[in-house]
Amino acid sequence: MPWIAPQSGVKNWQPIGSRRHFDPIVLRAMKPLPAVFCAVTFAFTSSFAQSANQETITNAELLKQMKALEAKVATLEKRLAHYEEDEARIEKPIARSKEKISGKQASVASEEPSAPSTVETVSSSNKPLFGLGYRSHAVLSIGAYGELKFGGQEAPGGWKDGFDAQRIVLLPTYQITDNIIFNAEIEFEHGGIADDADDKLTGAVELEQAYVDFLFNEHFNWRSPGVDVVPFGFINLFHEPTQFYSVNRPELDDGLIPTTWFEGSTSIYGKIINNLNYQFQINTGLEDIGQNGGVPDDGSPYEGGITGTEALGLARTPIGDFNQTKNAPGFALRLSYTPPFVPGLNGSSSVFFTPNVTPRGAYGDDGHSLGHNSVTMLDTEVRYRVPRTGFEFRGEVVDVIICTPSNLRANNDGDPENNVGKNLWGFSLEAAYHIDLSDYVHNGWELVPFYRYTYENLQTGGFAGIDENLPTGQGQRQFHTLGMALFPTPQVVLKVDYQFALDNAPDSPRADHLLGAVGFFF
Amino acid sequence: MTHIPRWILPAAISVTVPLPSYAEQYLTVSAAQKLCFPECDQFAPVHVKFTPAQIKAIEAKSGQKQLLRGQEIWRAMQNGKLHGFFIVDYVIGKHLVIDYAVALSPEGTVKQIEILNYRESYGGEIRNPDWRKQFVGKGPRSRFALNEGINNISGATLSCRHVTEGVHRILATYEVCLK
Repeated sequence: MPWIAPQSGVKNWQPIGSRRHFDPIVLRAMKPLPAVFCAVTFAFTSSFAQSANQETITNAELLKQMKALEAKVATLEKRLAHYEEDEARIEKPIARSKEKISGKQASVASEEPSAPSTVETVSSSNKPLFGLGYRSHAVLSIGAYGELKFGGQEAPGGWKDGFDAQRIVLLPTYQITDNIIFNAEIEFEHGGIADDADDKLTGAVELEQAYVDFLFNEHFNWRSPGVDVVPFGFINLFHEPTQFYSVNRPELDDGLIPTTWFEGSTSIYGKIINNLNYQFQINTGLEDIGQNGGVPDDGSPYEGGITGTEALGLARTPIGDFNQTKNAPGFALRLSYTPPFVPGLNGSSSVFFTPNVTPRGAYGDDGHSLGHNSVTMLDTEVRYRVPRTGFEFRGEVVDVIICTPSNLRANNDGDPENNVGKNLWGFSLEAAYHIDLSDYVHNGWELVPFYRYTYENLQTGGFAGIDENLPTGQGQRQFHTLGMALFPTPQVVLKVDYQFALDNAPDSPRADHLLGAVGFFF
Repeated sequence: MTHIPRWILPAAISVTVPLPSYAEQYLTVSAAQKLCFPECDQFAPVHVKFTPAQIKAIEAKSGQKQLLRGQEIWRAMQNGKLHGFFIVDYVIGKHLVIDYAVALSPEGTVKQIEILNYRESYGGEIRNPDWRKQFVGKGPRSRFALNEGINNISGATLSCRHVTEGVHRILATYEVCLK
């Protein structure tokens, strides 16, 4: 009888069913056996001796002694089983310990399957073997991403060269239980903030995400009330620098979508059917005020949140101290899809609606009150990586529909050039090519040259309000962005691009840029 | 009467809807075994604890770091006949661990992949059968990577990449420990 049963075709199996080695762990488990043997022997011999010496013992007393003996044996058996369980927990698969308990020995070939119940015991224990304790205890993870930029930007009076530590973001994630997850995103922008004048910092420290996810099943999960990005478009959700190739985020995400657009919110999300997922969010919505502190109570001028120059860049609601200026919620629904009949195609369609963006007490420059104004936003974007080639194409279209332009602050602030019509909209088309540099530089390096065209119209027809309407054409914009992104690993990107920025205003200053960036995400 | 913000109502409803506190994982190991090998009646655990030499060999073959000390493996059997291997593995998605299983044929080609537990807030699209199907037929000698034989799902890029790397590692484990 071999010590190890035949294990054809498989190396290093646990010798299930085969005779065990007397390895140190088994020897440890064997320690109590002599003690058990001695105790049982002693109990038997002493009771036998007692009965021999005292022939006058009664049947009742004998019965009592036997019961005491049974109890002792039961206790010892329990202790033995306890030791064996310890051994199994330390090192061996559960299958082996069960067999040991049953007293079976050795020679069964290891190909012989264990009972299904044994397999179930392993799976339902929810404790991975080999120290892979991911499922059995909470896990804290801190990721990060960041963008450091440099280069020149065209401005009135000539080019300005410089550097910007634009953002360093920390991403703590804590797995509270297997199904309750905490996520946060803490951002340091433009180097952060400091009170001392000699620090010369004008940045920010922001809490862009903080919520607890309750995972129920793949169709339904709940994101608790917290701070979260609005599920609208792609870049607003996935804005790490490794997700896009230009130095700056795509132009549509610089106003039409006020990326990073985060709000106080709660969501549900999950899968509808295969290849179609949803997220529905109720949030604090947008507000038509572009400054802190709400609408001034002294009737002085204040800045609008939705304008023909900044689009919605100033319209996010604050997330702190109950400082939101209106009661109406916002509703966002995003459907994301990966149609199986077009491999490599990913896309999403989003809609956002809020029944009112007008802050409490809003007024025009002539003192009249501004009434309710609903805003609807639509977005569809696709990303197509052509299978087995280096080609990638992206496209996006965004439309912002203003229900009552006459109630917008921008149309009632005395400035005739920043007015807004019924719509603000734009689209972009992008082509990129992925070049594998493994053969030339280093394994895994990839170069991605790209070109993106963006068109925006922030001042369409349909203006209404007390302002004169004299748009200069600066709301009709085009951007040609040409550049390349080098990925030494998927987690790090080095970028450079040149952007031609054009608008229809005859006296607009040129706003081209030549920028480089280092981005990372891990 | 005090004006109650209207958005409080839907939010309050969503909070107060009675929900169980804990969810089940998407698939248990035994359920995934049955999905991958419906014809099999027995699954024999043959877990491997790696030797240092095996770890080195797996890393060399797969190009991936082997961080696990061993692998949870079952032999899928029908009436004593080997139908394949069922292997549970773990990779990091963006921040959290993805539990998944790879079903291999006796010859070591991928038969099926099942996601057992996905915890990340984004990227759950890797559960799509169409995405997982791309691995079927891949073997230890196959050349594949994300966007080279395995289409990416943008928005789930890290999960896609890490599962792809994990499958490479599993196929190398087959070659080193099971072949």
